[in-house]
Amino acid sequence: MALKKDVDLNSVIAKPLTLKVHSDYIAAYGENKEDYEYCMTEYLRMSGIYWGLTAMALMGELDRMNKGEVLQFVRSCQDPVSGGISSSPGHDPHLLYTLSALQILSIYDEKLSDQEQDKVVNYIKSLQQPSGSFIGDKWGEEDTRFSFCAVACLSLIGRLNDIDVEKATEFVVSCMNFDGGFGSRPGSESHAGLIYCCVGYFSVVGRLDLVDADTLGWWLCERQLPSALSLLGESTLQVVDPTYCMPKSVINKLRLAPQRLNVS
Amino acid sequence: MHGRLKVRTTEQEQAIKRKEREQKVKAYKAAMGRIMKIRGNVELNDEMLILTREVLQRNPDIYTLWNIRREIFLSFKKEKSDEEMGKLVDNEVKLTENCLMNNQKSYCAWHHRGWVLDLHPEPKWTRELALCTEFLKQDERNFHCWDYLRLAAAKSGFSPLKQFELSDEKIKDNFSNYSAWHYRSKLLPLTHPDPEGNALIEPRQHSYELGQVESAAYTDPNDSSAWFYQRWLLGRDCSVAQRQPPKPLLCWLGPHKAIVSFSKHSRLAPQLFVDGQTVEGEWMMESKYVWVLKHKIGNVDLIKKAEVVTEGGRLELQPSSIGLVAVVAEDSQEHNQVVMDTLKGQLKNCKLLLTLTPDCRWTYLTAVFLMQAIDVRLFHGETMEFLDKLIQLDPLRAGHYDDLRSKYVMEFKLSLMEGSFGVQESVSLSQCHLSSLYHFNQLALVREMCRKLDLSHNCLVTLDSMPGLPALEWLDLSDNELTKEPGRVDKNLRNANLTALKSLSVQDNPCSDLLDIEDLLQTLSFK
Repeated sequence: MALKKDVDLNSVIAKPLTLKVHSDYIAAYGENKEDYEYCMTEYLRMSGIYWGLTAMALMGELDRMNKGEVLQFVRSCQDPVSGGISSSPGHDPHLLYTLSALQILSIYDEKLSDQEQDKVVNYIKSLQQPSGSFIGDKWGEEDTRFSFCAVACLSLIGRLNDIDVEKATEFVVSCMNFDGGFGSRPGSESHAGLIYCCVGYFSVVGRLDLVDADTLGWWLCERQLPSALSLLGESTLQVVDPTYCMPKSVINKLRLAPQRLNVS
Repeated sequence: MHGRLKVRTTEQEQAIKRKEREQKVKAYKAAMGRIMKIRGNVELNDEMLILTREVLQRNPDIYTLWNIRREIFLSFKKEKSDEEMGKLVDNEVKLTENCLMNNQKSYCAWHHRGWVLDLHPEPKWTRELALCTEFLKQDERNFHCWDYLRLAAAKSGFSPLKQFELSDEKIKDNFSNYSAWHYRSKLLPLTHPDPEGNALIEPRQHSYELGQVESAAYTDPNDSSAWFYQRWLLGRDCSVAQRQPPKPLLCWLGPHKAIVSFSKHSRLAPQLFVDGQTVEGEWMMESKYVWVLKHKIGNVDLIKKAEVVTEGGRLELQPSSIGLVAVVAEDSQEHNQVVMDTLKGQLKNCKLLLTLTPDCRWTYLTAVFLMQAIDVRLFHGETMEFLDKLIQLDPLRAGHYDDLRSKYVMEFKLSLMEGSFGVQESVSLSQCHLSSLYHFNQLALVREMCRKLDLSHNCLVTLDSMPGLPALEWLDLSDNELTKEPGRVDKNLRNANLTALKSLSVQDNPCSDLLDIEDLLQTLSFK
């Protein structure tokens, strides 16, 4: 299956990571508000900012970003009625962007006011369903991604106990599959992105014991392709779609036993 | 740009593209500006529907625009006749279809389709099933489409058996359709439950499924899809043991403390009786498998009869040098006889296949799973041999095979000792190729009794699953691969509650030079 989709990396792997070019790109991104890519990604702006900031923080260049403008933007996106946070002014609040917003605040060690924070908590609470699941916004899309978003948000602000964690956990467990992985809803097929969310969920609520690490570990190592062997050494585990690459330290934190994967 | 002659220079091309994009941005901004301005103005609903349609057809992920349409549709529902509503919903469904043609993985478009169809006075969910079948022909792994198919099946009353037949078709089309194998694993317990209730799946169907996997294997032995399904069919989920309540494997009654360990997660506290009387005290779930009781009996030497009663059975405790003990072996028979016969037949075929294609890793791995499902003790040697071969053939996943070996070694040792492993004062696991510590959680008594533990000459990288060992005096960890990652091994040892430890060896490990043994022993004993 996946093996046929591997790439030949021999021609590119010798180059060191060009950090300067990366940070210049991110620092300049958004300066031109008429830029095509910039305009067309307005509907996920909040997450875009979060991704940009984390990359800059990793490269030790966070100072180059306009902190004041970012914080102003985040605050302008909270919906005064529901308490949820949107991707951009004019767009509707959604759990995805509520998480990105709280993550941005965390990076800067900033907080919402008590009142704003209570509103966020109420918004998240309002999205929990009788099954324990979370919907992304009031329009009802149910997905384990949103279970992760909910607990990640609440744990960032120390309010995890405001929702029914036991019921929420029951729902995520019900999404576990024959391969040890997780899908978006009970019955849905396993998918790397959703596995990240669900394992992340268990990590946040302190219930990693519920993950079948042996079966899931096998699933993960069957996803690794031969090209991954020749990459960058210790610090990175690369799979052919970079979306699904995970740094070794992340796998480590999730206690998915990195020695099961060939990372050297 | 398809079909045009490439006569322009790159610069010219870029200029044209830039211009196109500038126009697109302009149009997008104008449309979005107008949309935001007229949002909520009911009079302008028609204009709003046109504007949002235009933008969504280009980018169906702009979630707010679908929300706006939903607001309008909710107001339509109050004022339009059934006939009008039916037409409006049909058009809306058509719009999502156009969007999905461009982007089959748009969460928003799939969700909106299901949402709006619910507003139809007579929603034709069976038609949705047909659409899914069509989409799956183009991309048989599109998980959005499979999810929508499950929704449509539920809404249209498409029975699990019919869905099962669909998965059959998909697998017959292409054995490496992972989505279809997954779907089967969900449907089987509904369509073919074991009437006796002993296993997850009716034994004949279970055998049939194993046969399906074998056919897939002969078609393309290097495709992994069916193998995950097979591992599930052979695993604990589908086993007889899984359907039964947790069974007590080991009980110990000592001064002020009693321990019961189970075959699997037990939610109910056991009960302990001494000479017919309930022993008072508080039961604590120490781990998923282990319950601990703190009681008031200080001297257990005079007790003649003790019994533990649990949801999965009762055990009588016998006096021994270390208190009262009961030990039973875990059932090795994990599968029904019909299934077992199939497994034996398949193992034979596997071995035959290996004489023809001796380098196929999947055949080795399957043989390993089959052998472990049939008889842990009988096939131990051969299992180890095959795992060695797998490490040679597939070095990329050597770590996984090492872990499997560690697990099987422990299970083999446990089966030989029928659980008495847990009540020994001295445990040797030297030279067992252990890369991880398996099943220690179930060995409740190791922590109470074990004074001497030899883990030398293995390949342990961390001691992450090391249990608490408060009685341990002597620990040999020499000649392992214990990591030099700062603090890791230290932390493992500190977490293991080694308050009685007097001797510790960590020679010949990457971390050897980093650990100050004297200092460590001292801090451990003061903990």
